[in-house]
Order: sequence, then structure tokens, then C-alpha cells
Amino acid sequence: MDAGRLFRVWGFGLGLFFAAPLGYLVYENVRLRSDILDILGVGRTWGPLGNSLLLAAAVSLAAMVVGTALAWATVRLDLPGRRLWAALAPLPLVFPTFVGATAFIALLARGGLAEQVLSPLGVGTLPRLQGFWAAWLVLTLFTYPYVYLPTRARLRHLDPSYEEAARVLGRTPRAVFTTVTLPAMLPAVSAGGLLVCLYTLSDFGAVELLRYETLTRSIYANRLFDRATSVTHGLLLGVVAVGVVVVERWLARRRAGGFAATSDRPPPRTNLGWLRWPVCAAVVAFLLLALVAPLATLGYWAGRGIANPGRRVGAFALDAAGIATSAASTVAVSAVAAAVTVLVVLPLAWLLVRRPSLSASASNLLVTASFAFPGIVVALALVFWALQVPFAAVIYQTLPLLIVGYVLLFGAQAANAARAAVGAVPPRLSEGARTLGARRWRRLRTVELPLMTPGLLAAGGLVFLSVMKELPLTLLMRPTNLPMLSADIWDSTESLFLAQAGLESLVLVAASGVLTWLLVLRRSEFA
Amino acid sequence: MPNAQRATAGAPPPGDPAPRGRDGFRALRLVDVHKSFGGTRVLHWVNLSIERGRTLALLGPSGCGKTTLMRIVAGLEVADGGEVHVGERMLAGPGVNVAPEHRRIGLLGQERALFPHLTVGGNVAYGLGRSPDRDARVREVLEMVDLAGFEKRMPDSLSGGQQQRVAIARALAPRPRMLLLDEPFQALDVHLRLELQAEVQALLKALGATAVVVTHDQDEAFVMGDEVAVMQEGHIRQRGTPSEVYGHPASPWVASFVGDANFVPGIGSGDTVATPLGNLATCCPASGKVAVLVRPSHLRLVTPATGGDVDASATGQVQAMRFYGHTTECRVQFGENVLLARSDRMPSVRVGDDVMIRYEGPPAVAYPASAMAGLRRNGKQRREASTSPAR
Repeated sequence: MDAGRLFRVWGFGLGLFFAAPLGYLVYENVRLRSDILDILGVGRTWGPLGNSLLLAAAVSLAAMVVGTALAWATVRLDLPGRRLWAALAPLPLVFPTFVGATAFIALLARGGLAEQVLSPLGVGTLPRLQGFWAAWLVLTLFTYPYVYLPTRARLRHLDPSYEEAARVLGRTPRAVFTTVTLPAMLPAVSAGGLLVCLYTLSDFGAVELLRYETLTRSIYANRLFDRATSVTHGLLLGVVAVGVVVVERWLARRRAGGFAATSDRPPPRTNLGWLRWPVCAAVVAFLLLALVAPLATLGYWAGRGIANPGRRVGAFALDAAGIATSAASTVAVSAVAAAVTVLVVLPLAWLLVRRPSLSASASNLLVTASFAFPGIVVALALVFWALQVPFAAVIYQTLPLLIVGYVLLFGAQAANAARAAVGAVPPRLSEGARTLGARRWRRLRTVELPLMTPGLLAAGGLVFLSVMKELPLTLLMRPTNLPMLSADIWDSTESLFLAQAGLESLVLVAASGVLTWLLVLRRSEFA
Repeated sequence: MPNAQRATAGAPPPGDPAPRGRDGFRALRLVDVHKSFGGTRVLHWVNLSIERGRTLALLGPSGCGKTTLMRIVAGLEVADGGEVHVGERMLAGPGVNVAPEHRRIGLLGQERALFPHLTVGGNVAYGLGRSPDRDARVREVLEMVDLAGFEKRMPDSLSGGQQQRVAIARALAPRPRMLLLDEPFQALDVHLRLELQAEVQALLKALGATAVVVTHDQDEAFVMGDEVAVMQEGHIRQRGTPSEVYGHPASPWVASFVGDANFVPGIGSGDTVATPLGNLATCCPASGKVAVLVRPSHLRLVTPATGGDVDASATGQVQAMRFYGHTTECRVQFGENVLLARSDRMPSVRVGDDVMIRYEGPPAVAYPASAMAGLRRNGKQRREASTSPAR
């Protein structure tokens, strides 16, 4: 069998593999005879579904407003310290949302920073942060960069000629904004909004910690004793997520061709006069909330833990050695998962770029659609499958199955980056090497791999970052004796071991910060 | 207020048979416009005026300030000082700066900048208010540019030339008082550029439009402009009809910018100048050491075989030849200089031949030898073929 054929079979198998979780949930639904209509008919479904949709809509909307406003303000207004705010604004991205929730819970907890500040003012015990508004606030604060980054890039590179043409044709600046600038930003805003929407739908950590009853929370809560509900809700969530992607794609296709980009003309800036001070203050206040407050409170708790080394139990207990072990195993697992994921999707990427075909596109469609699957849905499918199928129970809660889960969850991400990596090798170079007498292996070793390496490292890095930040899949599928930072933070926060949670979070945020800088921000203009 | 203006100013009086657009167009007058960017002066007290209904080509190398000047006229840039008048109205001047949306100046930029999210009809109607005859006007201007029936198409489904026509229609639709065309055909391929130059020029004439065409291409300037203004380093160096500018350039720099130029040293004595090419008649009295402008097409190369009555001292050796089909260029070593000669006849000489060089042109233009220093200082000549003793 020649390599091309092998690749095609591999690609086809890959497509099926990535479609498996949702397929399995359908099967489970049928097998358990879980009467979908019956479960759907009960309040226990409409409640979580409605909550999920409401939260996703509210967070997406807020993130689009905030992200767009910040992008526009930092590019188009003459704010003092504009470059600094622009560089700080994407940073909340490094907080996984459950860490963000942890930070805000810790902020308001007994003995926390807020209490320290407010108690002299006569404010007693603060309420626990929970419910819709809490989840909405935390998710918005830590997801808006998904809108901010693309929108800012769009605005910076939008050719000023469009707006000038509109001015010269007789429109006021305000009318130009609504008829030209806004439509030009819209594709970036809505693409970012889609990411936020998916992120919110699939978010488990923040809503669980903040006690807001969404589908993900119901799936988790019912997984042991009401499997039918759990499976139905999982399927429902998967369908909703895929539906959101389909709708966005459809909208994107209906939008007309793009505005031309420019690189040589700086974007025009509006002079605000005295108004720039209040606007600047608003930007700073927002960044204080989204960036400084969580970092400060995590640091505060970690510091109190370090200052009280004797305590073995309670909020101030700190097990530094445990955190070190946990960090080490997180890095090891993430690295393995990243390497495996990239290797698995690379043949498909190669196929798509070098040998485009209908079957390759179909497989690619299945792989990229899996991007929409929430981690908890993938985890649920794998867990039930492992418990259900004879002999599969052997691998339940083992490292290999955990890695399989990560591959399924982050394969779509890696596939996109891997395609770019393959695209970095022009076929002509391979042909050139061939005419110079290099055989297959030598071409791969001397020409193709060296050129693909940066792209493949980027693909692996993205998976590495995602694995580190992933909570529900890690929580449900890790071997019981394998410490992982995300799951540890979760346990510590649930037990209100806030010093422990603070230090663990800081370690995770630092690691994710470095990777995010290398993989995401460095490639934008902030280098 | 601007809406009221828009509704009345462009509309023809009832029963007026005159071409419609003409009523809308006005003269342009710039007085002492100057502008600096970060300490670099890009416009030096520019004075320029264009009569109503005329087209002026503003010609200059890139970076000479011509685009900045046009942006000042359109109101997209604010001058440091000076006045911009269109018709009777001062648009910019001491204490006055009319916003671009109230100037009613049509702009066709370097980028077509068609709104990609609007249809062709939507683009053309963009500058029209909510007037009842809006659709009729859209149809009318689309007909003018030969795109009748394209209203529902999206811009990205059109060819480059069609997009350019839509941009023209969009600029014309609100009945502007004048048009600015800033390198309008730069992005098009040569063939299409020539076609659109001719079309747009005819359209401007038919409408009786006042227009400024900014370009760095002297062919385009000569084709499009009733008059040409040559700009260099923020100064208007010369203003005149295309044939004046080409035939009697104001300086050696202008001469070599608007076409290939040889400069031959000479001694002027009134109506004639003594040069190594012989005694040439001059168009204007010249005296002392001068540099004489000799266009390559005014040089004729003669071999002894075909020869005639030639000053025997004017001989040179052919160093290189380029055959272009319609013309042939020869580089001839002539004393210390290399002269470029161009002929539309099939050449009878070959590389290495000794040839006699004959000047066959109108009375020559002579510049004081000191003027050549300016050419050397600013000397970015446009074609590598052009030569001068100054090098």
C-alpha cells in the first residue's frame, strides 16, 4: 500500500474517531431507552438548557461589547498610555475560567482581601459569590480577549480610505462609524463572539464553582446516579454547540467580501479633548477588575499560606512539595498529549494541503466540527464507553485513555495549526530536492521537517496550553494517583483551602502566561 | 444644512437644456497652502488655480507632496496655513475649516475603497441623501460609466476596471463641485489603464467637470490634463499645457522628469548656441555657459554611407542598441558623454559603428550651466536611459 493511500485511510479513520463521542452519545441515548421527550419534557432539562443558553448569550454579548470597545478605544482614541493598556488588555486570557472563579471566590472569602478592606468600614461577612450574575461577570472578564484580539487587529489594519471616502461623500463621523467602521469590524467581532459563546457553553469550572445550574453542571452532577439524564443533556449540549458553529458559518458566508487591509498608513485617531481622562479611567478600572484583582487576591492567599507554614489543615494550609509534584506531572502529561495529538493529525493536514480530495475534506469537516464539543461531553462519552464495553474498563482512568480524551478534544486546534505547518513547505522545494537526487526519507529529514518544525511546535504548544487549562476532562478521566494542577486547584477551591488554591493557581497562570505570550501574543503586534 | 445644500445646489433650473453637471462644477483656487509633517516641510506656499470645467494634471514623483495637497483640498488633512477656495466659497483658511462631508468634493483615491458590504447600487447611493430621485440618480450615473443594470451586484464580483467605474460613478453621484482623482489608474494593468484614461477624460469633458488628476506618470498627465502642473519637493515647478511643459521645460529637472533628456554643454550668443553638435538655434536668447536640452528623438544618427551635410566634428561611436519594435534606442559615446538617440525608423547602424550625430529638432532650450547643479542635487531621473553631462 503506497503512502498516499495509507494517508487517506488514516484521514478517514481520523474523521470517524473525532465524530465518535457524539455518535456514542446518540447510541447511549437509544440503548438506555432514555426517553428524550420524557427528559426534555421535565423542568430539569429546560432549566439547565435555558440557563446555558441565557448565560452563553449574555456572556457573548457582554464580551463583544467590552472587547470591541476596548479595541476601538486603544486603536482609535488618543488615550494617555494607549500602548500600555493595549498590551495589558489581552492578558486575562491566561486565566482559565475556573481559576478566575477561584480568584473571585477567594477575594470575597472570609479573611480575604475584600473583607480586610471593608471590615473597618463596618461591613460584616460578605455573601458567597454565586448565581447567574457571578458566572456572567467571571466568564465575561476572562473571555473578552477572544473578541478584543481579532477586532483590534482588524481595526489597526483597516485601510483608512474607506472611512475617508465615506467622509468625502458627505457623511458625518458618527454616520461613518455606523455605516463603514462597524460593518468592517463585524466579522472579527462575531468570530470572536462565537469563540466566547462556545467557551461559555462548554464551561464547567466557573459555573460549578459559582453554583449556576447549566447543562454542564447537570451532566456532571447526574453522571453517577441518573445516567440517562446525564447522557441526554450531554447530547443536547453537543448539538447546541455544533448548532452555534453552523449558524456562525452560515452568517459568515452571507457576509460580503472583505475590506482591504493596509500596512503603510497608521490608523486615524480621534482627539477626545478632556473626555480622554474619564475614558482612560474607565479602561483602567476595567483592567483592575479583570487583571489586577484576581492576581492580587491569588497572591495574597498564597502569601498568607507561605507565612503560616505550620498549619496542616484549613484555609491557610500549604503543601508546596505537592504543588511541585503536581506541576511536574502536569507538564509531562501535557507534553505527551501535545506530541501525540500533533502526530495523529499531521497525516490529515498533509493530505489536505498536498492531496486535496473529497474524502480528505469530509474527514477535515468532522475533525474541525469536534472543535465545538465541550470537554465534559467528550469526557462523558469516553467514561461511559469505557465502563460499558467489556474489557474497556481496564483502561478506564488510565493515562492512555486520558491522552485519547485530550487528542479528541484538542485535535481540531492542532489540525488547523498543522495545516499551516504543512503549508510552509512549498511543493516546489520537495520537487527541487527530488531533482537533486534526494529520496523520500532524505527529503523529509533535510527539507520538509526543518521547514515544518516551527509550525508543528506551535501546534503542539497550543495543545499543551489547552491541556494545562482543561478542567472537566482531567477531573473525570485522570488516574486517581496522577496529580494535575487544574484538578488540584479545583479540589482546593471546593474545600476552601484558599492558600493552596492561590499558589497552585499562580503556578498555572504563570505557565499559561508564558505559553500564551509565545504562541498568541508574540505573533500579534505586542512583541 | 448640508442636506439642504445637497438638495438644491446640483439640480438644474427647470427647462434648462444645458448639460446638467456643468451647473454644479466650480473653479478651484489654492492660495499659499503650506504644510509640514514633524518638522519636514512637504508643501511650500503652493498657489494653484483651475478654471471651471478644466482638468489639471498634477504631476510629480512620489513623495513630492501632491497627494497631501489633494487631501488638504478634500479636507482630510488640515494645512498649516493658506486658503482653499472652491467657487465663491472658502473651504479652508484663517479660522475656517469646512468638514470633508460638507465640501462636496468628489474623491477618487489611490485605493478604490468600494464598500465591500454594500451592493454597487448601495455604493453609488452612499453619498446621496434620502432624496426621492435617489434611485434615478444611481441609474443615471451608472449609465454614464457603462454599468447600467449592475445595481444589485457586489463589488468583489466585478473586474478591476468595472470596480474603478463604480468608484467614478460613486464620486459623481452627489453632483460634486469638483473632482480629485489621486493616481486613479495605478492599480490597473497597462492596457486597461489606457482605455480608462481615455474614457474618463471624455466623461470629464462631457460633464464639463473641474478636475485635478494626480499622477507620477507623465504620459497620463499629458493625456488627461488640459494643463499640467509639475511638482517637486513641495513646490510647483511649472504650470502649462502639456506641449509647453514638454517642449519648454522650466528647468533641467522638469525636462528630465517629463521625458528622456540629453544635456549638451554650449556657449550661448543670443539666438544661437555653439555646441559640440554644431551651432543650434535657441528658442529664447541665451548667453554664457549653458546646457542645451536635446530630446533623444531629435537626434539623428548618420553613417558616412547615408551621410550628408554634417558638421564633421559631431561624430561618435554606437555603444549599445535596444530594439523596441516601434522605436530603436542607441547609446552613443560622444566625447566624454553618452547620448541617447531614439528613432522610429529601422536603424541602419550597428554597435561599434562610428556615426555622425545631427540635431533635427525645434529651436533648442538652453539653461544656464549653473541650473544643472539643481538637477544633480535632486537628480532622480526617471529612466536609466536618460543621460546628462552632469553625471
